[in-house]
Amino acid sequence: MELLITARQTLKANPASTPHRRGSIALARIAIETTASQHPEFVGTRIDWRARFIALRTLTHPDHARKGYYLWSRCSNLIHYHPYRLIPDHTKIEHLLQQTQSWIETEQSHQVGYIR
Amino acid sequence: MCFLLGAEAITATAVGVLLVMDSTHCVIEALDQLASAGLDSEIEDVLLEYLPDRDGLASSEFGWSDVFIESIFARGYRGIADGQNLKLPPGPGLAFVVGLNGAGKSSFAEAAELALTGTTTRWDKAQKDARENWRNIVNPSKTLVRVELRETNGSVAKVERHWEENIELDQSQLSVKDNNGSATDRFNGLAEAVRQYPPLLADRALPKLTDGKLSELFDAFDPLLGLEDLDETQRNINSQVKEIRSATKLATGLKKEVLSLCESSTLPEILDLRSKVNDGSNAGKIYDDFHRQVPAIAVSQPVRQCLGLDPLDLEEVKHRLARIDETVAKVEDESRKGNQTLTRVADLLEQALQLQEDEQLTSCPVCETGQLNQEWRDKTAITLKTHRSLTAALKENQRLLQQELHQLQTLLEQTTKIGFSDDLPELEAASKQAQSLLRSISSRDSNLVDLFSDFELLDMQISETQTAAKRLVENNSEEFKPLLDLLDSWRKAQQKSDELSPTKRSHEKALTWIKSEITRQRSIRLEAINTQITNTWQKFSGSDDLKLDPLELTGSTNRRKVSLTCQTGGSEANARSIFSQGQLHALALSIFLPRATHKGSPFKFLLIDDPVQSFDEWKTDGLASVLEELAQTRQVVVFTHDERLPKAASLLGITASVINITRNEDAALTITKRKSAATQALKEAYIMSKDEQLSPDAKVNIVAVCCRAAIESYAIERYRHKANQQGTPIEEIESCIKQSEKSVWDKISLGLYCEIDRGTAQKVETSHGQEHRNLITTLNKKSHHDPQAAEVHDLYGRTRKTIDKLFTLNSQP
Repeated sequence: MELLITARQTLKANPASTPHRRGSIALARIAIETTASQHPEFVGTRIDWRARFIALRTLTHPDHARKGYYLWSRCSNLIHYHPYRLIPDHTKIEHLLQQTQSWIETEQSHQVGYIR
Repeated sequence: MCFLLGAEAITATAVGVLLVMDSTHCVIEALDQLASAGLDSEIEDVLLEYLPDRDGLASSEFGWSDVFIESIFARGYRGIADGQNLKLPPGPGLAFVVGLNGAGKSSFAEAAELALTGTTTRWDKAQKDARENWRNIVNPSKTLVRVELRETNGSVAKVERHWEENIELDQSQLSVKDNNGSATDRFNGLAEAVRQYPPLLADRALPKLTDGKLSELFDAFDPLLGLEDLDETQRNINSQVKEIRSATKLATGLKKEVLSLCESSTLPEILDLRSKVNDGSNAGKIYDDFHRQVPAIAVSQPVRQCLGLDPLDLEEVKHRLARIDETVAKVEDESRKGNQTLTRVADLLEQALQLQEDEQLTSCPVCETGQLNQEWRDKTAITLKTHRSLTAALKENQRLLQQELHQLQTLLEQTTKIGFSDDLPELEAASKQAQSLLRSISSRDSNLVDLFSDFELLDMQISETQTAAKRLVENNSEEFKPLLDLLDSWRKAQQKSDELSPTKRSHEKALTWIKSEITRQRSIRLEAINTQITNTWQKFSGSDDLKLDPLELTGSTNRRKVSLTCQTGGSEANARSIFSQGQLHALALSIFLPRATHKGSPFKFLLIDDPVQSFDEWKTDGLASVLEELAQTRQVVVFTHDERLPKAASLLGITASVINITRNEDAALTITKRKSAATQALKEAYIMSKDEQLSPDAKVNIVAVCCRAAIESYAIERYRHKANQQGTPIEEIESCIKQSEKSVWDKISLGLYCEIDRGTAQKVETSHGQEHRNLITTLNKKSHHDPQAAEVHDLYGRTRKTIDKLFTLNSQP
């Protein structure tokens, strides 16, 4: 969650700046990855990120897992430099961060009650 | 200069030279055709009357040419709050202005359209509620749009429109200023030039060509042919022909109505009217005659006679009565004086004188004493004369008396002879009064002067009777009012018909001629356009199994339609019904471009807003090719939210500038010139590495992401360049890039070896050094926040070195 706070601060510091927008998205993606990697089933493993989200579908609610994969993909897509891909404006990124926060909170609550 | 378009001109189109297609030339050509058509002078006169005067035609030369657009400025307009200037790459070339939905790019496109035309396709004809917020919501006051135009000779003009508060969109203040801010007439005729050769294509203009009725489609296509003035001429002649026909029809209809209304009447006057109408007599005369007859038909003979009575001149009557009384007195007086005795004495004296002369008597035969001498004769003659004079006066007075009496009687008899009428009872009283007076005069029981009051009474009665008679005429004439009104309408309609009818034939013939002339010119011009349409269409839709037939515009006025057919599978089909939306848009663009790029156009720029719309990737590629060709000689600016078009341009190796528009808080925009993905990533890595506000951990993560992306982008750009040079098909290139998506090493492998080699990490270490492999590994780990990553210092500097080592930093394709 700290990463997400930093992501927000980065965006807020310079909302018109493309690198800051992209940076905040990068931090959001890392926040998702960090949260997902803390799932008891993944601790100490080195699994591909796509595989982790597929696995999450069986470990937690499928819709929640799908949403996580969507957010992670969206962030990944945006931080890669495609020749003519347009970086979203600050309002869209804020919305993305909000969705990410919501997902992380849900994921963390799932992890707390998880029994292997 | 010859404007005749003959076979040579058509041949010229085949080699890509478009005909002159402005309205001025269509009129000149029509006038030339008319001069050699050998029409009757009457028909020629009609056409010359309606065609614009040759001398009055505006020159098609604007006095300025080769105009590029340097910038578009907007303030307080739609999505642009504070003043924003969109600088465009000068000169020929292709530029994409890209931005996400709502970023503000279309606001710039519209601002240019608004500055140049005074309106926009978006707002023109929009519903009232959709026009409400054309001003920016954050900054609605002092709205201003401006384009800066520059000729190749260096002349500059800033075309500006501004709106004070509470001013409607179409009430802008226009100003054209030179570089020093002074008003200039350098770009006179700008609006006309934009109308003839529209250099702008709004996003909403494309669907308009495909969704409407055929007549609307006709209206959209027809102006492209530049036949507006001839169309207008045809409309005007047609309107006159209609008016002539309608005047004749109206007159005939009213005539029938008149006959129908008269049908049931048995009045001789009405029967006479019918026969006159049937005989074709002059409507005006028929009306005038009948109008006069109405009072006579409306009332009985006594009433009509009553109206014809002369009023009594009471003063005259008074004098006459006095004279009669005076004469009567004289006659009576003379009578009293023994007028009869005097006459007999005079007769006797006359006989005595005659006897004395005849018998020569000397003494009186009665007394035998008196002497009948000369003295007796003189005395007797005097006496005789006196007697005769007295009797003559008496006779004269008697004659005068008779005369006066006769005149009075005549005066009264005009009333007594009228007779009676049941609908005018006042007439009987007057008549009786006149009879009573007649009797009194005849009897002369008393002085006639005493009868004057009776004459006064009679005069009053006659006056009242005449008033009643007039009222009666008025009331009874109401019956004939509908007929009179109808006659009046017919008279006027007939008059107009008579005036117009002589020109009917010449107008009809003129209409036929102008229609055929429009068809002829349209056919020639359309052929020229069709050649270009086909060429452009081929670029758009070479991949489709559709062959577009030449476009045809047929009909006119309210029977306008467009023939849009195509050949598919060996059969003809209606393009509108089988074309997809994307194909229709391609067709619309094919139609737009020939006119916008016409050699007569003074504009060297094209602004196209969102042309991709429903295109698939093939048509997008086709569009990129079309734009590339245009950009060889023109400044082509394309506004798009769709990355497919810039991407297609990139894939096809088309050089293009990209201008990014992003929206910030409070409707503020950021306009940046887009760099290549690799350069951009490296630049962002540098910016973030220098950001002092970022925490060290966050900075490492973000810089790692940017640096890794920079290496990936360099690798992919290098691969594209090399593969293109090797002639690898674009589909294969894109497929390989897609396969490399999941791994940074796969991308580096493509960039280095044009294939995906799983041993690339080792190869890099062997060929270029371990530090490069280590850096890439570190970037990869830190991009995913792997805590095990080492050597996170100076990621940016080390990345530059690695890129330089692997792909040669400063020689990127």
